[in-house]
Amino acid sequence: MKTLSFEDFEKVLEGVLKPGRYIGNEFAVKSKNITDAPDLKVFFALVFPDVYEVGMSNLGMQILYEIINSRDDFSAERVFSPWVDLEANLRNSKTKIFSLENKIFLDEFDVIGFSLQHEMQYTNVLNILDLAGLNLRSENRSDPKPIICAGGPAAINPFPMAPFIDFFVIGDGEKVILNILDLVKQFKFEKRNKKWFLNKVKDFEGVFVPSDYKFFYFKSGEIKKIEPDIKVRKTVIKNLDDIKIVTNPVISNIKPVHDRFVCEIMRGCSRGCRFCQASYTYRPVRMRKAENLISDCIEGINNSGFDEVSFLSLSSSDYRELDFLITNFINSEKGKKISVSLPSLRLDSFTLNIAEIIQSGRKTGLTFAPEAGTQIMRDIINKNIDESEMLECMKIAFEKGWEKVKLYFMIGLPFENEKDIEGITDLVQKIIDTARAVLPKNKLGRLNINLSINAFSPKPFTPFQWAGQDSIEKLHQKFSKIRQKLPKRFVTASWSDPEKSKIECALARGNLKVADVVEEAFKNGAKFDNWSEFFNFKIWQDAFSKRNVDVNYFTEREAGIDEILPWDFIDIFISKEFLIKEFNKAKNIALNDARRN
Amino acid sequence: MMPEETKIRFKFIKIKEFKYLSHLETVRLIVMAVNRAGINVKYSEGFNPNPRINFSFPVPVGLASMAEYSDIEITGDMSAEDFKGRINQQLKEQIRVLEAKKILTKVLSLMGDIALCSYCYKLKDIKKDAGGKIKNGISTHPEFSRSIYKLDFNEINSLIVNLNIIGYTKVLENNTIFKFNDFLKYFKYLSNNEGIMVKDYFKEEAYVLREGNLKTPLEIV
Ligand code: SF4
Repeated sequence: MKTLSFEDFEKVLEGVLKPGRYIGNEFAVKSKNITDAPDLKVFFALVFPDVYEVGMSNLGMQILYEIINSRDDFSAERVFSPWVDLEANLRNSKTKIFSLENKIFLDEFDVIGFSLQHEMQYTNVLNILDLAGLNLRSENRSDPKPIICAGGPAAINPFPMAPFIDFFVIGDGEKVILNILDLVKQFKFEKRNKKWFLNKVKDFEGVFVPSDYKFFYFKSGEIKKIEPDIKVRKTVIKNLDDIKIVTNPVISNIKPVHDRFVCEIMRGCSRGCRFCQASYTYRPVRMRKAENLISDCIEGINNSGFDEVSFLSLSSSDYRELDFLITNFINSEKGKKISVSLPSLRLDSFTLNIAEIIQSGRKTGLTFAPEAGTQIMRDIINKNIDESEMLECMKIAFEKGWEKVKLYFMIGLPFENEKDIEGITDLVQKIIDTARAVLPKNKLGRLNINLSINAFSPKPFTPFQWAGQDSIEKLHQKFSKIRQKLPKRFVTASWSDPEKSKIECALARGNLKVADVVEEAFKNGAKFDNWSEFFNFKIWQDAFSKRNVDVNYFTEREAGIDEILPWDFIDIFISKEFLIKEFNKAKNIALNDARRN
Repeated sequence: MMPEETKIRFKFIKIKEFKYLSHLETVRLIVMAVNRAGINVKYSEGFNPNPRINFSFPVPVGLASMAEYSDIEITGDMSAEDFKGRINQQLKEQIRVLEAKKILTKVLSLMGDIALCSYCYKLKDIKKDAGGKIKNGISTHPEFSRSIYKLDFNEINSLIVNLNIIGYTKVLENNTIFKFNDFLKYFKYLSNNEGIMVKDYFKEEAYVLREGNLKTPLEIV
């Protein structure tokens, strides 16, 4: 296998801002030595299309890395997006992108697997393929090697990336990845061609091979027919306890964005908020046994040396043994010295106690996610948060000494009207009033209400998958309305960029035509689209018009209920009828609200 | 009676690709290794407790070092040998503890005490009279002449000559501070003119001053 020499490595690092991103050799790396019998192994490049410190915080990367490398005959090495400075050096010196561990050039691997966390990483995938000297489109890659696959949450609607990827894995990758690599081994040693491989791999659960499918369109752009009419079922780990949490993660050399030990307590969320893609795509809800978790966590903390643990899930309040887990962990000898964070804790009077235990003494802040400003809007989106309960909870929290609250809202939701927008600022006012009532003057000054307001972007596999997205102008109007009415004292707010939300929406709900746009945008310089300093709306606008694709078809247009949607042939275990029913429920709540009409 | 705490000063290397880690990255890496090793480091009091580990002055990113220093405060008793053995098990060959010693006297902080550092440049293709020319060039240079305490050429074998420079990291009297990166640029230009190849360079040692003599930070504890 061709690798980059140390001398050349040093040359490409010249003038690079954070060279520590590229050196590899971290504590607990698990890849194999390439000098010992390389021809007997399958080499897998695990690629995360963002920078090192983002990718090293991703749990999925650590899990797959661990699982693949647990086999003697497989070796997984990591690749992250080079920052722009290193990219410039690579391009100027005509050096191909290489893996962190053994500095193997990416195109030398048997398989390249991309982890797709969100749509705004798509152009980074193309950039990495390009930096590897590979053709972007599968049909133009004639060599049998490398085979290119992708998985992760943003592969759930694979079409905007389908022309570039040989096959996708839909669902939990932990088990199927080893079957896939066994097949790659056979493919490699029997010297088969790619067609042979793709023909076999498609029989594994969760695997989708784009080249097998054909799309037929109406003139209007709607899909007429997808052939063959065979559904791809997502693959699922039924019992999470079958897969131990990663207890000896690779310790990144430079500070990752989440610098803590991660322990996934549960997968999935049954709350069914109608905008929430994760709630539908990660079903069924699966929990790990708390007893195993406590000992595994302590093992993991000892192995890694972190001083903080994060118990990860979509909605930790729904974790059955939460109280047991937290109490026992915190009272363990190790737990006493470790800080605990519990993201996604839904606060009420019971969980507030837990928050108090884990934030002992520090009271860093409490997070609430009402998502909408009025009760009726929360009913429409099925967000089960009652205003008076929430205010009561905050009252207790203020009395107990908390001074900081963070609130998440969404605007541009389906059936939203002016009252709902006003409801956001009204709610903020009520929180301030609550604080005034209980906090003495000298403490009131420290009250800090931090709002994060995001533009709604309808996602596949949700009851709102048909909904139209607000136009950029409308979103701006709503934002400025909130800004005008927002109390100035005690409040800080951040806003999402409506232009970015629009592109995110178009990519999330895109079909094969959108794939052309992704390619065009990449060729015109789009990359790191999730980074506000790089996101360039103009590039995307031009790409849509150049490829003759109407962006609003995918964003502002409301899709017909009987329309064939690009992702319809993927089976996530939730029927379209159910989603329609949920959508109608939301609609009826809105219609029955006299005030709205 | 068991002492309540142990203070240890240790010297470590930072070589090969790990020379590309910044000071803060190195600190984080060592603190995590200390945690893994089950060494009970003491924490500062207050709102944001920090581990009580102090380091010597940051070495520039990209410069390998054979002599980084750090002081750590540990709860309870621990021998220096035990400390070294345990932490090295949690470190890779690119960052390793070479020597550790208990601090038994009152010491100043490493940042405050270290006054000089020595650097070594490995040179190839050096002609007979080139050394003198370079020495002359440096010692009359307005920017660097007062930042260098000592400068020597040492022949290693027929091919390699080492240039050893001791530069100031602190203003003592009439001197200026030795700026490694600026000097390197100038030195590369100088040696280029003389047809000399700079094969390698690294930080060799750090020194404190005691009664006009150079001592390593481990010699004074
Ligand atoms: S509670 Fe959170 S994760 Fe669960 S469905 Fe609602 S938004 Fe999604």
